[in-house]
Amino acid sequence: MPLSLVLDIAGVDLTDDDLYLQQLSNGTEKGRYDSTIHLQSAIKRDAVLAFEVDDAPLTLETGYPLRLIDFGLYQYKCVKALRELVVTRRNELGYWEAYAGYDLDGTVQPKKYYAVDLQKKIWYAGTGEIDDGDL
Amino acid sequence: MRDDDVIELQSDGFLRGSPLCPNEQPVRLVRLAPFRIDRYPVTNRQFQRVLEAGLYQNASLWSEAGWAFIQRNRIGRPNYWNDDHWNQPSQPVTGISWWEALAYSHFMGKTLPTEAQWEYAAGFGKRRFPWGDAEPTPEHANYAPGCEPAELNRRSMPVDHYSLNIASSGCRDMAGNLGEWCIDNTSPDYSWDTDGRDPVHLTHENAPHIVRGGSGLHDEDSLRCASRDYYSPTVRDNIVGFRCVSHAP
Repeated sequence: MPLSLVLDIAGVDLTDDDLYLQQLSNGTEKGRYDSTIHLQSAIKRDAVLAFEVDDAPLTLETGYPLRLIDFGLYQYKCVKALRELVVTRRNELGYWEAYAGYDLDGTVQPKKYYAVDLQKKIWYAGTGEIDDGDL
Repeated sequence: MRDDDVIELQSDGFLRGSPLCPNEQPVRLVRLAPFRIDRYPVTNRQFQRVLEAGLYQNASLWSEAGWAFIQRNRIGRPNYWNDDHWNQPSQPVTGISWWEALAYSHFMGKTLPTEAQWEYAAGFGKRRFPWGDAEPTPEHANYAPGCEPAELNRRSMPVDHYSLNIASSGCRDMAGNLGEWCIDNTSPDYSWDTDGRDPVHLTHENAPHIVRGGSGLHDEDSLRCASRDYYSPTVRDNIVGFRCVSHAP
């Protein structure tokens, strides 16, 4: 499900460049995970709300029942077991940024990555989403 | 395992880098002045002594940015310090930012290795992995084959656990378990190194720093001696530890 579709139904102004999207998880015994992303950037990157993968519901490990996926961001910016989306003008540190010092921005950086489908390591020289042409 | 267990090394020329990845190129001959490197990564037992001696209270051990970082975030011990998967005495200390690693090394009268020193100690420019060219197995190191760790609830292993994980220099546990902070900032490749003599790449303290060796969350390729990774100096996750170096007299 495109994130833009859900936010449009909710009446969010998708052209407002000052908006952020805070994601809040269901929470576990470890706490409630959260992360905030720049809304318009996520829309431009075609972020989705995923509830199934390969025609099967998400598993607990992959974020059941719902996970926001922005392919231009590291996964710590995409909260699993999503319960609530809050449109805000405050870009605040999320769980992993506050706990373990990861960057607030979270854009995928030039590095080696493991391409699961190809089962091989690739060097990605760009930033943001890795597409088929980079493999 | 002794605290003063260090190995003295120098190189009149070793091949730094590899043709396997663009950020490991160009491969070139690198010379290193004599230095001493810790045989083992810093353990929780070692770190505790320095913590109790006032590491987090002594501003003189910290850079200005590092001191500001721990003050701003009210940091007084490593992350995972109370987690029994990571806090055992013989496990390598983790959950420490680059600044905490550097402050510890200053307390010990040492510093962090340059990535050239680290790579030389790992493989002398000849070995693909610290133990040789054989592909890793679970008997060699704590790593994640295909980036899939065997258990989701991971833990590190004692620094002397893997009898096969010995570099030709004698350094232990350089592949897997925890990556290791280096002093260098990251770079897309080695084109900045124009003379190959004690190379070190320092741009800005707040910029990302090199991490070497792979971890229990990294795959086989990350265990190669020439493989490079990097993280922000603020990162305090359970994938990075460190060892120290000093100048040889």
